[in-house]
Amino acid sequence: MNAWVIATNTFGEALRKRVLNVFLLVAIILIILSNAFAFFTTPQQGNRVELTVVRSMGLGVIVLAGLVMSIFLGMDLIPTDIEHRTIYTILSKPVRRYHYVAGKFLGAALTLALNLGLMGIFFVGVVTYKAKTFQPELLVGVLMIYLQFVLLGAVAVFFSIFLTKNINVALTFFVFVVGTLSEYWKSVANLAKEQPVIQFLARMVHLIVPNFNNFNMANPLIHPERMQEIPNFAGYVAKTAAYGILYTALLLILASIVFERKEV
Amino acid sequence: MGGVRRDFRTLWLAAALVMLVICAVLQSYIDPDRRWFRPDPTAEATPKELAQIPKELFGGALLGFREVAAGLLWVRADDYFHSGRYDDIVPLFYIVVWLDPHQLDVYATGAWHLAYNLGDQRLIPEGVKFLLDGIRKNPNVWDLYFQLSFLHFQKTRDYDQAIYWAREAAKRPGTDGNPAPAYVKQMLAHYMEKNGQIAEMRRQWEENVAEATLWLYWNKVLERIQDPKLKAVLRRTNPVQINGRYLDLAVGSAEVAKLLTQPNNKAVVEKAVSEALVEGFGVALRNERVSRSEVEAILSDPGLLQPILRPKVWKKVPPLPSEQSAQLDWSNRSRNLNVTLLRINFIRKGAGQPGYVFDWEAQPPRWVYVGDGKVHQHDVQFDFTVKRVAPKKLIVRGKIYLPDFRRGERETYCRLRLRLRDRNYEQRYKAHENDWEWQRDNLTLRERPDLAFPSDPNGWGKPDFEYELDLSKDPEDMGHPPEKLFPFKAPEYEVTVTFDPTDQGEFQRDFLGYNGEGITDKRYLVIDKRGVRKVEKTIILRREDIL
Repeated sequence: MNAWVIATNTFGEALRKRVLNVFLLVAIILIILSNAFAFFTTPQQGNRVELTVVRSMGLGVIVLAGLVMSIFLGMDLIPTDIEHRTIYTILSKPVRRYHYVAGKFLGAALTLALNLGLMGIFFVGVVTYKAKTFQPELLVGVLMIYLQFVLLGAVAVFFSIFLTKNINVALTFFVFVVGTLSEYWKSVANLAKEQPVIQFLARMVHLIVPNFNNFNMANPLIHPERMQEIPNFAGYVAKTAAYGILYTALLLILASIVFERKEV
Repeated sequence: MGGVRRDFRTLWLAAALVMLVICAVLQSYIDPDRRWFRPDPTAEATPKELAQIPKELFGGALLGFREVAAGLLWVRADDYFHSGRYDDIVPLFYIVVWLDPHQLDVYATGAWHLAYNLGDQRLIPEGVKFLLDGIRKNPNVWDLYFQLSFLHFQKTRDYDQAIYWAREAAKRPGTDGNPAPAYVKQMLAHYMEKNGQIAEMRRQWEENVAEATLWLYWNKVLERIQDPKLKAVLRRTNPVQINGRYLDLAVGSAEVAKLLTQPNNKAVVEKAVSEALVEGFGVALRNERVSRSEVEAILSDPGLLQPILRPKVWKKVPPLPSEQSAQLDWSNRSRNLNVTLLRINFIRKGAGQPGYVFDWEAQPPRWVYVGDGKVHQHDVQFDFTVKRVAPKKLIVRGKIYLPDFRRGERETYCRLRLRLRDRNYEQRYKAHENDWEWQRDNLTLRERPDLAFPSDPNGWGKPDFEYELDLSKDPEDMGHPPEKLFPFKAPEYEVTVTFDPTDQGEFQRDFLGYNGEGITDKRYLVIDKRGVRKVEKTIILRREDIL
C-alpha cells in the first residue's frame, strides 16, 4: 500500500514534467507526419511502400522516445528526492526502503505506460487508417517496446542509487548498447572456439547482460506477411515478456538491497 | 535485529541469483526463435556483417532502426543515381537489402537500375543475381518472381527462364494475401509466344479468358445466394471481393455474356467455380478467414460444388445480361478483359498458327502452310559487313530482302539485333562470375536489341540497312568514361547481327511465319533451341581492327 501511494505521487510528479510532455508531443507529431514520408514513394510502388515507411518510422519514433524517457525517468527518481531532501520526510514515516524503491519505480513505469501507450494508440491509428485494416500485432509490438524500456528504466534506477546522474546516463546507455548487441555476443562465443576465455566471456555477456534485442520485433511488424512465417508468435511473446518482467524484478531487488545499505 | 536484517538480505540476494539463472535459461529458450525476427532468418548475426553498415547509420541500425536506416540509404541511392555516381550506387543496393531484405520494391527497383538504368549492359547478370537473392529471402510472394521473369524476357531473352519464373509467380499470393494479378498470366502467354510455344500460348490465353470470365461469374454467383451467413462465408473466400485487380479484369463486357451462354464455356466456368471453391477454402483456411468446421460443413454439401445446379441456394436466377445492359451496367471497366478477348480472337482467327504464312499475292489472299518446307519459303539473302571509319567507330552495313509488309499503305519498320562483344564472352564472364571489378576492367559488350530500319518501302528494291557503332563515347550519354564501358582487353571480338521473326510485329509475322517458318537463307539460317528460324551472321574482328 505504501509503495502504491509513492507510485501515484511519482506518477503525478512525472506528469508535470514538461520535458516528458514535449517528448510525447514531438513523438506523436512525428508518428502522424510519417504519412508525409510517403512523398518519397512513387505511385507505382503504391500503398505497400507507404505503409512500410509509416510502420518503420512509427516504431522507430516510439523506440527512440522510449529510450530517452526511460533513462530520463530512471536516473532522476531517487537522486532528486535526495537532492530536495523529500526522502527524509518519506523515510521518517513507517515506509520500508524497498517499498520506497518499488513505489518510485512503479510510478515511473506508469508514466512510461501512459506515454508509450498514447504513442502506440496514435501509431496503430495511423497504420489502420492507411492500411484500412487493423493489425493487432502492432499493439503487441508496442507492448514489447514498453517492457524493453521498463527493463532499461530498472537498470537506470539501480545505477542511480550509487552513481551520479551523468555517469548513470552513460553507463545505462552502455548497458543498452551491449544488451542490444546480444546476438552478436552469442555469435562471437560460437566463433571463438579456439579461445575459451573469449568464448566464455562472450557467452556470459550474452546470457547475463539484459538482452534488449529480445524485444525487437520490428521487421515482421513492418512486413506483416512475415508474421505467418513465425512458428509460435504467442509463445515467443510470453517467453520474452516473462524474461523482461523477471529481469526488471531482479534489478529492483538488487537496487533495494543496495539502497538498504546506503546512508541518506 | 541486525542479524535478522542480514538474513533477510541474504535471502533476497539468493532470490536475485535464482532469478538471474532463470533469466539465463529463458534466454537460451528465446535464442532459437530470435531468427524469425531478424530481417533475414537464414543469416547468422555475425560481427563481420556489422562492418557493412555505413558508419553514420551504424548506431541507428544497431539500436533497432535497421528499417529506417534502409529507407534513408535508399533515398541516398536515388540521389547517387541522379548525380551520376553510378560506381557508388551498386554497393548501396546490397547494404539496403541487407538491412531490410523484405523491402520488395528495393529489390525490384534495384534490379531495374542494374539491368536498365545504369547504362552498362554488363550489369544485366547483376540484376538477375539481385532478384534471385530477393526471391531467396522472400520466397512466399509473387512479386520478385514476376520481376525476374520480366527481366529474362526483356534483357537476357532467356524465355525458358521467363516462363519458369512467371509460372512460379502465378502460384503465389502477394503481400496482401491476394492472388497474383492477372497480368502475370498474360505476360506468361507473351513469353510462351516469344519462346515459339504457340500451342501453349493459345492454351494460356484460353485459360486467362476462362479465369477472367470466372471472376465475373463468381461475382454474379454471389449476388444470387440467399442465406446471408453462407453468403458472408463465401464472400470471405472470394478473391473478387478482396482483389480489385481481378474485379477490373472480370467485370463487364458484352463478350463475357456471350461466352457464358456458350455451352462449352459454361462447362468450363462450372468446373472452374468448383475448383475455385476448393482452392478458395484452402487459401481462406491458411489465412484463418474461416474455421475448419465451417469449411467442412460447406464442402460436405456436394451441391455447393456445382453452384449452378443447386437452385435452392440461389435466389431466382435472373437471365444473363444482354449486351446492351452489360455495357450500361459495367461501362468502362472492361478494358483489361477486352484486351484479353481481342488477343484470343486474333489468335483464333488464324494468326499465330505455327507453320502458316499469309499469302497476300494469292487470289483471294489466304493462309498457306509452309511449315513442312514443301511450299516456297522466302529467301531473305541476308548479309552484312563491318568497316572501321575511325578509332572505335564502326559502320555496320548490310542487306536483308523482306516481303512488302506495307502493302502500299504506310511505312513499316523491322527490328534487327546488333551485338559487339569479346569473343568467348560467356566463358570469360563465367570464369569471373562473382568478380564485378574484373568484369568492369576486362569485358566489352555493346548491344542494340531493337535496331529499327524501314522495311523495304518499295517491294524488293531497297533491302539495305546501315548503323554506326560508336564505341568512343558513352552511347547512353550518362557520363560513363568510354574506356571503362568498353575496355577492349580481349584480343578478338565478335559482331553479330540477327534478324529474329519473333522480334517483329504481329502483322509482319503473318508474312514470316510465327516462328519464321516462311523464311530461309542459304548461308545464315539458324534454328535455335526454341525451334525459331532466324538469320544470324557473326564477324570476328581483332582488337587492331577496332582501335
